[in-house]
Amino acid sequence: MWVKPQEVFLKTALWDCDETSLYFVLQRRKGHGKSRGLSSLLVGTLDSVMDTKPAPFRILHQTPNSEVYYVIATALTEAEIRQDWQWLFENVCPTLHSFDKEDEVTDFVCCKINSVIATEQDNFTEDEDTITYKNVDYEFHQRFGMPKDEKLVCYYSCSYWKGKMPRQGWMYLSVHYMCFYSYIFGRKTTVKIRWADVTELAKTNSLLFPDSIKVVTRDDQHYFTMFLKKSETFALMQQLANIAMKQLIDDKSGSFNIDKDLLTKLSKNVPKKPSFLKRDLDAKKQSNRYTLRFRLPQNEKLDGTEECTLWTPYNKSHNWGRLYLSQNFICFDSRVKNLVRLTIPLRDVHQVERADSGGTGSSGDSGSILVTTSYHTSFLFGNISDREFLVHKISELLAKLPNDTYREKATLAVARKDDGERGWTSQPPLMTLFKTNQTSPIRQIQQKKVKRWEDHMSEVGRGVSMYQTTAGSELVVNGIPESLRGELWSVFSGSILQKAQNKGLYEKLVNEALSSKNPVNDEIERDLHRSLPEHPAFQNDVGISALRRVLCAYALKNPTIGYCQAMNIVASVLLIYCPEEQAFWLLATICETLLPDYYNTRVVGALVDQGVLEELTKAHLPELHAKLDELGVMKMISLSWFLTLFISVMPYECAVNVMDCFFYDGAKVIFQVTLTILDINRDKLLKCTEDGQAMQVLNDYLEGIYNDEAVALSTEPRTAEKTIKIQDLVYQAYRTYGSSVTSDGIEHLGLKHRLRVVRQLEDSLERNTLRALQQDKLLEPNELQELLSAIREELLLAKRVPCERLEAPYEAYRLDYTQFKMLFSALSPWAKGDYAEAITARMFKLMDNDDDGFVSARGLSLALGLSCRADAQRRLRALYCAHAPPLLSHLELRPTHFTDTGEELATDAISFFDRSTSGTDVGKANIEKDCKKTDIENPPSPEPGSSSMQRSISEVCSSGYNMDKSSDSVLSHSAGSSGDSHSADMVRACALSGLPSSLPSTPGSTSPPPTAPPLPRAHFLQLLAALHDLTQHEAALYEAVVLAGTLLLQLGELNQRPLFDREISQDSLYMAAAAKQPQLPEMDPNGNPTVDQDKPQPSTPTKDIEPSTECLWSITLEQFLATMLAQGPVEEFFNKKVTLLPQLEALRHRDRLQSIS
Amino acid sequence: MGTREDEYDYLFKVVLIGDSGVGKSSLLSRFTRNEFNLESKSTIGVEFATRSIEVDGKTIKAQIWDTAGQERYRAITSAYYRGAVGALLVYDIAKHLSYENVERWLRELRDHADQNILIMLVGNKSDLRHLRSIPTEEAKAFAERNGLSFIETSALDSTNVEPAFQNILTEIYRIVSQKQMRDQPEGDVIRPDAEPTDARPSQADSVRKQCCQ
Repeated sequence: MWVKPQEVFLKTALWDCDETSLYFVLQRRKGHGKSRGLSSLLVGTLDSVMDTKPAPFRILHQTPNSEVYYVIATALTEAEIRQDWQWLFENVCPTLHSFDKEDEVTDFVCCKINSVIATEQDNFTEDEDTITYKNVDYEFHQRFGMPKDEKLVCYYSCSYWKGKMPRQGWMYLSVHYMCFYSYIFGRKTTVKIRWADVTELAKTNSLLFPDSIKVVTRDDQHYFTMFLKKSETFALMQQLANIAMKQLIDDKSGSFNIDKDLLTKLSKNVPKKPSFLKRDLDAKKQSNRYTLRFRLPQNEKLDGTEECTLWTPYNKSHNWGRLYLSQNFICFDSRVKNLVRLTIPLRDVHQVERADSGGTGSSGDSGSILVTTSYHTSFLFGNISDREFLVHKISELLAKLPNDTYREKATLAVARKDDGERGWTSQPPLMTLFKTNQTSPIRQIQQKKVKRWEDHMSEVGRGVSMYQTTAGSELVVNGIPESLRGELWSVFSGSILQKAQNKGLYEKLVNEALSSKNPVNDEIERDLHRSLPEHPAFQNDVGISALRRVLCAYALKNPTIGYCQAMNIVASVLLIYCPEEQAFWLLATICETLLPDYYNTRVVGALVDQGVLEELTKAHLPELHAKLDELGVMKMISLSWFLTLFISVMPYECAVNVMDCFFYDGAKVIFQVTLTILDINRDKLLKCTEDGQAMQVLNDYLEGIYNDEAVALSTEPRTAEKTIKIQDLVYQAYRTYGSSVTSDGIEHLGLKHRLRVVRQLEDSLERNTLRALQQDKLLEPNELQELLSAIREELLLAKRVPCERLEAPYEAYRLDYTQFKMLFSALSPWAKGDYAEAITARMFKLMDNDDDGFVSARGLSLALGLSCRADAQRRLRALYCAHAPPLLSHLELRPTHFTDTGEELATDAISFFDRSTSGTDVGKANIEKDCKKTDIENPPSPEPGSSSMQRSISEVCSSGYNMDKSSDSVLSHSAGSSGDSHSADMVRACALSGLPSSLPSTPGSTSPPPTAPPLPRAHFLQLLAALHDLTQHEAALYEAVVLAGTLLLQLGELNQRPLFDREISQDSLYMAAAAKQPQLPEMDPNGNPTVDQDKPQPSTPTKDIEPSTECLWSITLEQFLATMLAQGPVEEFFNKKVTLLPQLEALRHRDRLQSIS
Repeated sequence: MGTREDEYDYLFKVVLIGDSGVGKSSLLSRFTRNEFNLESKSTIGVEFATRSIEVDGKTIKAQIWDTAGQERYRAITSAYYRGAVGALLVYDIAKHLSYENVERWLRELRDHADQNILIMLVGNKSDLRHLRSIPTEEAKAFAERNGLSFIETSALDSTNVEPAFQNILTEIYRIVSQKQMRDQPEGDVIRPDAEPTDARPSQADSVRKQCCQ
């Protein structure tokens, strides 16, 4: 029987060891079983006398270098303990070798045993998850046809409203899907919804659907009800939907990873859950809350919490609250909101001791600990129920801290190093270099403020571990004095912790960023002078260079954000008040923690918060909301307010007061201030008749905000008519909305709006893509719509998401070859026969414009359009181009053997066709048979061709594509030397020519009409084989193709002949060269007389053709088209318009997401 | 609609678009306030100013929306194109990339603005003669090919700024007033929003105004 791991100190006393391994010991109590001796007898008696009766067998966990042992299993019989021992050996031991440190091993073992106990209800477990869970997991995959790697998180009993009848069943929540299954009275109901498709999640309570959870997708809505644990279920649904949305925002491919570290950390505190994943998600959630609450670095993981009191010396009282413990911090938050909050970095902790004789306090007797920091400040926690455990835990965490002797200085000292070698100097706060001429009343105000803060900080401490109290927040609302801003912003925002954890990183980033050529640096450069131009510091190289360093370093640190306009404005103000490095970390904290997703490539965070603001306005100022909505300004007003923290709309010396509160209280402050501004201007706004007027009202108001407690250093005089003192505005914001607009509320609304914003971005992307694709005028709009949703489906299945790109909307949908093949072969009539694979691959290559192994949505729609909708000439041209030299490389033509044998085969083919043409009187049937024979025996047989194509595609997709490319370039070079170069781009353009919208070109560039190169023999045979394959199902058609093919082959010979005659003396030399260099067999088209190119004469005598080299053999596009189109059945066949809708319908049916049956 | 400022015959919404840093905001402040700051804050989201001009004795109030140029704001700014009857597509004559991107901006307008929006291509910073990288002729030819009007301006020395705005506003005025003439015989009644795709606010307003007079 497994037991909760418990420390024991004595290994051998009273126990005998039966088995030992590196990490485990199996022991029997002396006096049991085989050992007989004096001591063992004694123990036996002792046991019976003291009535403790410990189980006689146990397993201990140990590590070689530790004296601490853990009991992990006990048993009454030897058989039982042996079973456990066996299980350990089979399941646990193999994984233990992968750990580097011994305490990790111990942690893992303890966690494992705990989890086994936790999940062990009625069944003995073999793995992390219980047997029942495993069964459910299996059922889940079976019932919903889930891919193997789809992970079930949790399942709940609930009912699904189908029509007016609730169906009792199970809801399954997995990482990417939510599903429902019920089977009652022989009627099955299944629902399967992908999180990425959810547009709204809400708890509802209506007469029709009482107390239910509503799930809305693009096409449908569903109601679930009768949950046992509704809020838990809902919270998990929200979390999973949120993860899906975040993936859509960031395009971080790959599924959710189980965070092993988190898992081991939190497992003890989390109640029993069926799946480890669920536990992991819970842990993640708790940790996120924790880091947000105390502004800790985001990777900080919560280890445990404990109810206790904190002694606050400034008011001499014990405050109840909760203590939080994580790898690097001890934190405390009072139960009474905002009463006191505390963060102690473990790296500052000097000593942790039990404070038993707490005679001074009333409740100090039981379980107090005293934490002393290296700055000689102490913090006293009391009323801890399990003090020993806590002390032990803290010392354990302390022991795990990285061994750096560096200790953060409590006060902020500006590093003044000799910066000679790095070529730049880190700047102190710019306000110390560019001093304002403060008038004496203002100086007095500032001094008085500083005095008040100094007094306050002498009570609550200074730096990271200051008590953050109600008195403190009142001081913040009044505005932090200029001289303390930098220090306090860093403390309140938590950026000081980031800085301390990443010592030296800023300098490294700056050096790297300044020496590298990053396109983002140009963008930054353009905006340096457009950040805070009215401030003298930014009319000077000192400020500009500091700003450049901060922004470039950040773009390098976080490439997913890079540089977003508005960051320059925020950073410039930070630089005025903070030393450079501190400003950098403040900026990082704003971008990543305080305003997440605000500055990413689609400013999603700001859009989400606009939605939240709209909703808050509706709730608090309904009348105004209606008006602004009508005017259409609701969406416009707030964007710059939020993105620049008001700096771009009100004088900066006022905006900093909002920032004081923002760093102290988080993003909710911006909402509160915004609502207040709207409220104050309500009457004026209600009178507005158009959007511009409303904008003007707000602009005038914001520009007129003033701060008479500070002097701005600005070359632009503040001339606007004064409207409100910033302190009054902030105070009013706190008073009016302080309690009603909370961080939790905003977070909750944020999730809802994130669903909406992501959906809107996707929709607009889809709309733009459709519009762009329709310009090709090949497929019908409804076909394109279906096609796009099929593409999206395919991408999501591959765990990838459409990712908006700059070039064109359709570039967001990028299909790799597997995905392209799947869709093309399901849809295109060209992908049905034996040759399907080869044709698909060639069309892929034709559409892969930049040779990167990906084809855009437009590529696929063109490939489909050209194969089933374009007129015969364009279809044939596309086929021709797909087989033209640079695209169809020699790699694909010579699957197994080349050089001599290649020629041999070609010779065979020529002689064959020679035979067949001379024997036209033999009969068509014969030709047909022979042709089939060629297909099988000769190089253009489908199998080798397609497999080599596969190979080259896979090379395209891997990095090894260079080789292919170089052969292409050699090719085009050799072609170029003969005076007519055909790049792959040219061929691609030729295939698409005649489309209403050709590829985008820069204005002013007019290129000559694209042409395709003539086909060499081997290429042509491939093309012919493809044509045979497409047409073989119909006798007449097939004959026509064979006939045209024969003519073209003859024509190719003719094209070759004049040159052959002329240069017969060089021929042997040429052949030798050709044998050596496979690229050379490109023919020289200029050498051909062009007279008979236009009209191929079927009556051309052919008997004098001699099978010989293929070096100069060629067929041009014009010849090909003319000959093929001359054949009625061929033209008819390629003009036949094939509709795609049935295939699309079938495809949709196959992977229909929301199947309700 | 009580104050004097609001007395106008027509109200036209015009948007300023183009790459970041080509001088959209400078053109706006030069036209609306006759001010020029060599350095002003980058535009975040959207900014806005108005100025009224006289054409044919009518007062035309131009409501000019200045948009952020950075790529990542494009999805947001395109929302402001709604209802605009004119667009100044600005590039920097000294920055070739800003000219190359004109095509992309045009597509943006095609996708999000009204079908009949009047577009003027504006080559700004014509004072930077020695740095010019796009010849006037080339841009002019491009504008002609794409049916845009074209002008080169300098917000710094205020060359052509006034004409640029005057031209586009006058042109819009002509189209709108012609449409009204054409529409009038059909009936003297007010027809608000008869053609939603064109000059929505202006038409509605002007009709209302004329009726009041």
